[in-house]
Amino acid sequence: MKAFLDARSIPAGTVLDTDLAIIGGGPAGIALALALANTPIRVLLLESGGEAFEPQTQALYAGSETGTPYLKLENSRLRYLGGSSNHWGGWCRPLDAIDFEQRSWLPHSGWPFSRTELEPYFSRAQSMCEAGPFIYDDPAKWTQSFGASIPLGEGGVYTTYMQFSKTRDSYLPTHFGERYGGDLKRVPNLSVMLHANVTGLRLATNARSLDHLDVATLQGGRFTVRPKYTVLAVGGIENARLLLASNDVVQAGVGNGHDLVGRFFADHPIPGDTATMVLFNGAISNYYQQPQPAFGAYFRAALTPHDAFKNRHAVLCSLATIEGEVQLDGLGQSAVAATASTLGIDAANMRAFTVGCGMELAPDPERRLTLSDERDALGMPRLNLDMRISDSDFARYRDTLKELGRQLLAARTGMIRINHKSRESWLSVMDWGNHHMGTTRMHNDPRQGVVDANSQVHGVSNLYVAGSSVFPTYGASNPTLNLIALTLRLADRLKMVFRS
Amino acid sequence: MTQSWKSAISRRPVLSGLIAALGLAIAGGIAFEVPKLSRRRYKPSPYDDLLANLPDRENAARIGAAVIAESPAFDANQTARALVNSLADNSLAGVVSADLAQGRMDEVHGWLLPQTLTQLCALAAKAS
Ligand SMILES: Cc1cc2nc3c(=O)[nH]c(=O)nc-3n(C[C@H](O)[C@H](O)[C@H](O)COP(=O)(O)OP(=O)(O)OC[C@H]3O[C@@H](n4cnc5c(N)ncnc54)[C@H](O)[C@@H]3O)c2cc1C
Repeated sequence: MKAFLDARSIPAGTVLDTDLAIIGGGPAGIALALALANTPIRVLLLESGGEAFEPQTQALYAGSETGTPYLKLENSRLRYLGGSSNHWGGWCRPLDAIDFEQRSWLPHSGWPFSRTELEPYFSRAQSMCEAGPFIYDDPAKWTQSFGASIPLGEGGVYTTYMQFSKTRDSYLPTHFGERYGGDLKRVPNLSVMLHANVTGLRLATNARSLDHLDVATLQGGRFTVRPKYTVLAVGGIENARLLLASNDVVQAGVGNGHDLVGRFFADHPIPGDTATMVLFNGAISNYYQQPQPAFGAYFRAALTPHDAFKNRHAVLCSLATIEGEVQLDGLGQSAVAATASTLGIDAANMRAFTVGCGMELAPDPERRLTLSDERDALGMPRLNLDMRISDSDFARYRDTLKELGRQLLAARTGMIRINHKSRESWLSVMDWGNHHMGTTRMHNDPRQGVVDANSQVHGVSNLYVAGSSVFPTYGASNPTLNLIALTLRLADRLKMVFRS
Repeated sequence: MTQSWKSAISRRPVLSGLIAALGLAIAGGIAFEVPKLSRRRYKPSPYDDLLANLPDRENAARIGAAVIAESPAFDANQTARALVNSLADNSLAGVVSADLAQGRMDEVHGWLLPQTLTQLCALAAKAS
């Protein structure tokens, strides 16, 4: 087992050679480094932070935000080994098949491949997340052992099951730095260097390949890494920042010949109390409200639209969760009494619950990260995020709630109230998932994507991007399981590249 | 005396039979009338036949008030005519099921309700 290297002890002006540089030691960087273990590829992983939180390093993440109110950029991620997994929630769910499809009603939608391309990688990604066996699509397993799902009439919404990352012997989600630190130290062909901030991706003069990386420490050290290949894995926001800020050879930045880097930023809006759900007989299985331990995993149910319904009604994905119990006001009580009696149902034991949600946003090129005039302690330009959410994003989620309400009534199970209509009302309950996606989107056509189907930056032969910044359409599933699966696929690609 | 005693004897069962019959008649009448007496009386309205379909007219009227507040242009007579047609050969439960199957829903202060129920609620509010 070898210790991590520390960039602060590298003499200024040093040039380090390696086969592959991985920039960033979050879930993506760590998954890639471990997937390349015991290959002939010499790997150097450069991580900005140390093994624990350091305020000066974290401050490098600060930026500004305009437009729709959003999280502060420095609060929405963590900059040390393990990255944002040091404070993630551990929710996991694979993307749906439709998330990969190009849809005529959804501009800019679709991945360059279908979900089947990622399927071989899901179970390994799942085990890295320590989220138990991969049994999302097996509802009978959950319902047989843990109680029935909410009866819904035939229609567009169904109960889906999320699984949770949990570190061994704990219900807390896996912190990738802590959990895999020992494994990283044991990989013979890997060196991990902490406190190593990559500040520039320097292209060769013909701009067709990456020549070297500038690395800086907060103590003033500066040195160079000259890798044969590089994978940028610094998170969904920072991936775009490094590409845009590396503008010495190409003024627009690396990979930005078509002005796409930083555009199409996305997150999952998580509005609270989106609806009130009444169940006439008050019965609900525990797994709707709280994660439940089962089969070595934790799982929880959510309500989501079927892919066919999404296509038929032009709605995006959403995962509605049932949260705490609430009391109905007078009108609510009348609505339940009048409806239940009309349906011939005894609602004496009825209970009402508030409904939370994770929503998908439509791709929007104007929702965008750009460099600002501010600079951080290392001289790097800071970012501005211009956040946007359109009224149609809310309207689409409302359509799904309406369908859910219809199915509850049709099954004589319950009914719902949609709690928000106006934009102001939605924004007043808005929170965000901290799932940064889309800023280096994947597309086979360089005019429509920053990276190609292999995650290689268009036009730069030896530079790849890992992480959710490459997601061109986002789904509503939490990104980490999916971005790890995609990274494992990239590892296979790199093994092939090095073999040839 | 004997006669009167006799006749008194012979009249007693007849009287008590009559009283018992009267008592039964009154009790029966009360039993028959009580639900009618205790049922809330509504002022007559042109929609009473339709509103008789509603098992819970008070709560329906409360919802109906919200419906009318949200759509002031609500046309009660036109709605009533349409409802008379749709409920002519079908039970309310059947019509509501058809609403749900065909996605005919209304939103009242956010509550999603089958359209026919919403319309009856609005008539109940108009009538109250
Ligand atoms: C509060 C919160 C809750 C979340 N909950 C969930 C959840 O429940 N489910 C889910 O799927 N996802 C969740 N996420 C998102 C999840 O954390 C991210 O998807 C995941 O961490 C992304 O992994 P990554 O490796 O791509 O990037 P990151 O985790 O951001 O890692 C990037 C790494 O790069 C390093 N770095 C940055 N800049 C440089 C540089 N210039 N040079 C060198 N190194 C650099 C950073 O220090 C960091 O270690 C949550 C996030 C937050 C913030």
